[in-house]
Amino acid sequence: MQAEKQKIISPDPSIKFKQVHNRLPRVLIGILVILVFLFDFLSVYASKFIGSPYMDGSVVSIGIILAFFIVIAIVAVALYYIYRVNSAWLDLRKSPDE
Amino acid sequence: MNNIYLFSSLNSLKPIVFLLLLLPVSAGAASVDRPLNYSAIVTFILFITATLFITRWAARRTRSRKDFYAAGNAIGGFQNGVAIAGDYMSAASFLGLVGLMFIAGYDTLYFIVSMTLSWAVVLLLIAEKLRNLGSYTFADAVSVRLAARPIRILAASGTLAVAVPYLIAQMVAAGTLVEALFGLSYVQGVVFVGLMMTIYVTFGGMIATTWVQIVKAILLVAGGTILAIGVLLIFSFDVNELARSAVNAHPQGIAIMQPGLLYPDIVSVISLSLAFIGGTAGLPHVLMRFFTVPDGVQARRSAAFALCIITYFQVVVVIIGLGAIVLLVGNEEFTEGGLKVIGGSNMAAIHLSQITGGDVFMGFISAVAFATILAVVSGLTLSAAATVSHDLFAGVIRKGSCTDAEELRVSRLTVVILGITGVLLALLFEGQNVAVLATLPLVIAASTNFPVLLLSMYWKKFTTRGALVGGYVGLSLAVGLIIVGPNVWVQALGFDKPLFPYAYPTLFSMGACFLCAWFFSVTDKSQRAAAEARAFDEQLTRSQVGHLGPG
Repeated sequence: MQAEKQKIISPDPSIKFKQVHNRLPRVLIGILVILVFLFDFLSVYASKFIGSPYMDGSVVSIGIILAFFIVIAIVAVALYYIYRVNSAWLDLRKSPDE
Repeated sequence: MNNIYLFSSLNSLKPIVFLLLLLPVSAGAASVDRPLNYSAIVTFILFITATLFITRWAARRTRSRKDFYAAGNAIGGFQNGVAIAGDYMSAASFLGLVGLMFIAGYDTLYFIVSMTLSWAVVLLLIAEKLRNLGSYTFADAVSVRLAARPIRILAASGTLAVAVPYLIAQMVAAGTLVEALFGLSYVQGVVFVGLMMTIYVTFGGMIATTWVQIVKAILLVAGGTILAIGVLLIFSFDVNELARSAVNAHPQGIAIMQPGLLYPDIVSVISLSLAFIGGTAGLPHVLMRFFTVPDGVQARRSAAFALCIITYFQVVVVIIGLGAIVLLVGNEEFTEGGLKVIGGSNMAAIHLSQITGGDVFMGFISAVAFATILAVVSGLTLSAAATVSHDLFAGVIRKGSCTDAEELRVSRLTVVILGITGVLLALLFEGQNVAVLATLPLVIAASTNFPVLLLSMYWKKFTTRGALVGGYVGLSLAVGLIIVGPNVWVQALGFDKPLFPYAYPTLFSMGACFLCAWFFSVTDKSQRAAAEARAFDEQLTRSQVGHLGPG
């Protein structure tokens, strides 16, 4: 089974497969790292803005809301990646038969 | 009447439960005279009984090296995800983060955001490739195309430098927790943890360690969830009201919703983020878990489940932390005024559990916290034993020519030695500030293991020379800068000012590792370097083979 899979990929790996497994994760992680560092920089250099309430009458700051959305974004990106990897796998499985 | 019967029964159980504890303890180790929490003891008895049964069951299934190190590659993606989450959700990430939230509010978010990202890094960049390239330790994956012997020595150095301090920190925490909660002495607590982890790992190997982690993770998430619901119930599930009450109660007021109480400068913040982002992906006991699943697909699944569980738990921790501020600050029963919690800020979650659920719930949470430590030290011990027996003994000393039985014997012997050494060092560190021991592992993992593993998987021109220089420079800088930093130089050694101002030196140590790895790789014109570059494409294919399935 392993040998068969290796045989499929080695000589002519699907471009989409390669992109999904090599380029896509790097791009997604790059975006997420930038997002997290942006949060870090804003927290240090724009602490007044980031520490102000996100709406009138609330004590919850913009930074807390931002952190919450970043966490959601990270989970969403992880799920998107899995969706893409699965799609690429299904495409690759179809192609030798077609 | 029933209560009296129950209590007398529990009293009669006490000597049986802690028989194992009392046996190895010297006569001089006097027990601390404190009231016992029976709920804690019952929960703990159940946990120990269940895990000993698991170990017995696992011992019958542990026949080969593959079973011992990698649970026969037979753990499912979901189970492994829960076990990974259990490995990662240590006492530090539960008691410590709640305590941090209690003290510093907003700045805890740096930890939470970085921890979440760290799991995305593991999922997207590491998990599948590691599983497809390696067998038992991450050195297997790195040495696919790089020179095996020096790489294994480097990996073993990185693994032991992470595992040993982490082990001591956990055991010191266990001793302190036992002293505070179970009415036993520090020595008894430490000896008990050492004994149990040795039993789990020696007899049950990775199978037992995995299932112990699963049981503990379920208990921890359930306990945390109940605690958070208890807090939210008080505020009729109005998070805004909870936050407002926390601001009103905290001595720092609205400042707990703003950054800067703990980490005011950018270098500290970025270093902290890097320590978590890279450190998680370089923790050997976490990486080793990816070899317990059958293929890369399940490895990916494991990381995804772990990400979801850990993220959920962090949200729970934030709620518990806010609840602790509201219910503990100014409460004379649990604080000595202001933010000075009796037993230290790490006890905030434990005290909160007593307020929300009484002695019974407090006992449950305490026992879960202790079980957490027990499970984490088992995982750490197994990873350290694996690197000694598989990387050093089999890979370096015997150059791959030893039998399964010999390697297993060395591994089990290492577990026993680690158990004894861990107990002795934890006794030596009694009463010492072990914050540095908790800082070291993540920084070292981020500055040595992670860069070497990442570059070996993704950079064609990465060479053995680059890996060795980068890895050792990262390791030395991480250890050196922590020693001259505020945690050791000032707090432990008593000097007035640190020689290096930052508690987390990751920005410098990790940066130096990457820089040296790059420089000494691109300037390496040897034949070996050329051969290693040529082998990259084959390695890339191999890293993709096996994960051709839906995750």
